[in-house]
Amino acid sequence: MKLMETSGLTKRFRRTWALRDCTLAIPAGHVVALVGPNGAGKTTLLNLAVGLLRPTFGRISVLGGEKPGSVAARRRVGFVAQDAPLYGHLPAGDMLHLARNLNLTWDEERARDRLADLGIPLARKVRQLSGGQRAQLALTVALAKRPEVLILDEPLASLDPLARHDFMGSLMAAVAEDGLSVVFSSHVVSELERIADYLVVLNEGRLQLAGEVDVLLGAHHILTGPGGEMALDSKRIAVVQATQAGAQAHLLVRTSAADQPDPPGWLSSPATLEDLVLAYLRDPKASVLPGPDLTAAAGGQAARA
Amino acid sequence: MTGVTSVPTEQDARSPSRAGLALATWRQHRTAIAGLLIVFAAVAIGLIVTGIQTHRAYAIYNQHHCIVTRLPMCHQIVIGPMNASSWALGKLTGAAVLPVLAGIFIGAPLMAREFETGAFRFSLAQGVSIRRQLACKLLVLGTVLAVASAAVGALIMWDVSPYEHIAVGRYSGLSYWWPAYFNNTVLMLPVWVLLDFGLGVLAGVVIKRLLPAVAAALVAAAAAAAGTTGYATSSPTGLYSNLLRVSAMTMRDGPSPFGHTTYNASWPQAVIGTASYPPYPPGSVQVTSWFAGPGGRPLSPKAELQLFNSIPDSVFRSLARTRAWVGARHITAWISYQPADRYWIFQSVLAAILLAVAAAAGFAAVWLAGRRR
Amino acid sequence: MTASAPPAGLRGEPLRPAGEKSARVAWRRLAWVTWRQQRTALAGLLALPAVAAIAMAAIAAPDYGSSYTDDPARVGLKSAVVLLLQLTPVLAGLFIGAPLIAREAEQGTLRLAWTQGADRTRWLLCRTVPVMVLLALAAAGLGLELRWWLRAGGWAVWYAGGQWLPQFFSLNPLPFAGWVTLSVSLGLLLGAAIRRTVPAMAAMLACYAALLSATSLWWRHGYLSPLLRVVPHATIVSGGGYGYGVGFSRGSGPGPYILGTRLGWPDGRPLSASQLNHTAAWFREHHIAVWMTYQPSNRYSTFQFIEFGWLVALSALLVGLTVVLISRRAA
Repeated sequence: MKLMETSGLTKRFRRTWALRDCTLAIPAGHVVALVGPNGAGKTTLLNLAVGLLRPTFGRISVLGGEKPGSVAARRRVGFVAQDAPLYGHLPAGDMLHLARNLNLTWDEERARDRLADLGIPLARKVRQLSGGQRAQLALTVALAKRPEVLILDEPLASLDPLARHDFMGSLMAAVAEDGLSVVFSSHVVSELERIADYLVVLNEGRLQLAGEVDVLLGAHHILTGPGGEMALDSKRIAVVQATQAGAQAHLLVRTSAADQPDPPGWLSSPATLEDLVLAYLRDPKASVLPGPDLTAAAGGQAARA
Repeated sequence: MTGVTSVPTEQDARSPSRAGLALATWRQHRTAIAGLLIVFAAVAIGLIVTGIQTHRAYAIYNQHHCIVTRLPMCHQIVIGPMNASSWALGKLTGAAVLPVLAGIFIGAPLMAREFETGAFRFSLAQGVSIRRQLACKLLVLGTVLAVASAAVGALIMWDVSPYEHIAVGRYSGLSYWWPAYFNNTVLMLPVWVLLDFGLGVLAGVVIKRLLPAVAAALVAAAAAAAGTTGYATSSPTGLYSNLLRVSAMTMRDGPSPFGHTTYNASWPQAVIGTASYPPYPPGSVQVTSWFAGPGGRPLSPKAELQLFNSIPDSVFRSLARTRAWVGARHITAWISYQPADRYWIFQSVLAAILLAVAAAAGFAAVWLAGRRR
Repeated sequence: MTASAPPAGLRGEPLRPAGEKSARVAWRRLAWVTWRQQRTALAGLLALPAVAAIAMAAIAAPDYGSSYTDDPARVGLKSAVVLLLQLTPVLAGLFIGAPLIAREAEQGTLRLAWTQGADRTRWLLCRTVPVMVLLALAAAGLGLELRWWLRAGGWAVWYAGGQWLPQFFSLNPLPFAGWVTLSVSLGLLLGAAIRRTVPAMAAMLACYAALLSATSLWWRHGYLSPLLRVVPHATIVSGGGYGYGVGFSRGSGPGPYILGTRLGWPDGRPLSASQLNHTAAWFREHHIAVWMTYQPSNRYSTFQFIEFGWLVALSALLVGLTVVLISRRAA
């Protein structure tokens, strides 16, 4: 089953194009990290996925063909918007009760247990909770309806490091318990490596990179070698980014086949996710895109160097 | 990256200039100011249109010396375009809404929205203190409001002046002492607008949430209006009524033996007939009335009631007998009034009092806004 | 809990199978949501007419015919009660109608409310319709109490046309309920269109004032075509001064609503301006009479129904438009 499938998805707001021609096919059962600079279109994509926005062109479907925002989709998708919106004047317990009354399925016991474990008092008003507690409460509300996929828009943005750690821990525990899929957007790249197993990179409204992390990391590595002009076989090796530091050059390259011998004079080392993301973000024109019916393949047909 | 440190210049060390702050206020509240000015402009246009009509009718009225001649067309004018009771009061009531609007749509949201959306934290981090920012906002917005409402107040006075002229000396028409008019002159309307604006801002600063602040501003404006004028002109509880009692002048009430307002609907025409017009000079306002017994001492309400219940029917059949009866008991009817030439003194006093309250509200708001919890 | 065990739903019931599309959130659950979120605003709003209601129950109305000089406090009370009641629809629109959607849009909680199991239309209808019904019932009750209160003071014997005055007509039970409903639905639509609270409140106030003025000054005159008749027992003193006593005070109903009077020939044609300058004798000679256009007193109830009817219809239309608007637009 496809978690999210889009085809030529485009969204325009009056004069700005927030998302252009985005074609994705994310399989279920992954923790998907949606990465990109501010204004890249992450929030737009997620809002389209939950039915808060309608596409200008193109199609999007979630959870195996459900229309976003339909009854079935809303039941199976849990969403926490940016800044974890909650009703500030309600006590936490009433906030839970309110969410329960807005949903078809609800696991009250689990929600209460979670809040008790986290030490969030039910009688305290939401606006009096700390940022981390509010984020946890919003996550609890989303989890309590037992969704199949959890969509989180920049959940870590306003959290301090400890709260961030706790939040991701909670999230991973929930994933392990229920077999949830998660899609979360972030621009804190360093955190992703621990958790994400599928990566989507958006830049300036366009899809740049989409694929399983293992596969992507397998297809990229860093070549270190002497600076100056060195011929590289561009049919088999595509350079994503080159940096020069003194006499040495570091290249992040993408190879079209595995087990390639290193070019003479160059040393290869594995790339980290952070290297990968940063390199692609710096060059908006580079991209690795799988076709709509393929899982990510290194150097797939749509690759443009 | 190589570090190049820049030495702060004298320019940076100074706080942003007043003009800069004013500009920032303008930018931030452009929509609110624009909306406000549109409303004021709409009211002004309405006043101008009806005012031209009224003045034209009044010109014809004067042309035919209507006060004297009472031609049919004069009557048509008085019941038509110059129908004081419905049109003038309607306009005045409409204008009275402006201060409340300023309070709830400009005053209350000013700080309440900032607190609620968290933009307050941004303001707090600027180079200028919150207090200076708010003070600047109050000055800029207050000036705009004051100027706009002074213009509307002046228009109201121009618009309503023909009604005053035909009312002078007569019981009907319009008295510019009526609270509805008194509070909407070129001096008082800006004061009321500033007062409600100040109360609104204070409400927004104290109650840091928008809707409760709007509600509080509404209640405060209503309370200020009710407390100042009371429900009716003769109510003793309003500030206005109490102010009017200060060194009021007194005179004998006449020409009816019982004064010009005290009469019972069952009394015969002879007694009531002469009681239609008030005795005080044109343009004045009556403050209180009372009856005095022998020696000039005022009668208590109980004594008054006793007096009226004791009048025999036979006395009432003629005016002469009524006069004799009243005279024999040395009963005289008195009124106290404020003469016309004190009108602007009263305007200034009430304006000063309300302006002081407005300023106090503004200062309190500024002080509270900068207070660290 | 392992992933293989079916998760429990409300009260431990198993979830419905994934494919079922007819599942909907129950109305009474949404009703709790509405109540929890609106209870403060409703309480605050109803406090104002409650004050008026208590005042009416406790203090008798001033007698018909009394003036400020007789009884300033009670005559003032009558004006105050009327004013408080007239303000109720305005405040309902401002504090319940306009913020309903606009506030949630401003604070971002729409993104929470519209991604739960309840769909937008149901969510909206459940938040507005019960509140409007409640307010309409309260308004009708207040209108009845006002009528009873005034009648007890002898105001049943109205001077001709008194009960037709705008400030009293719109406080009859049915029109009052209609105006409250309209005000809330107006605020609702404007709040959904302009997604910011203060501008929505301002727009609602402006539209409501315009509608109320237009109705009071013009539309209400013409719900049914006015009739034309000669005023009985009129004395014509001059072209400008004619007096008539419209003695319709028998019974306890309202008098007719006199829209205008003029001098006219026996067949109804109006006199020209120059003809107005004749003497009383000339008028008598030519059987000139005072004609009035009016709405007869037996239409008073009918007019109330008509006003209620179009107000409720318009409210329903506005709510419908709001539903369409929120279904199509983004959060």
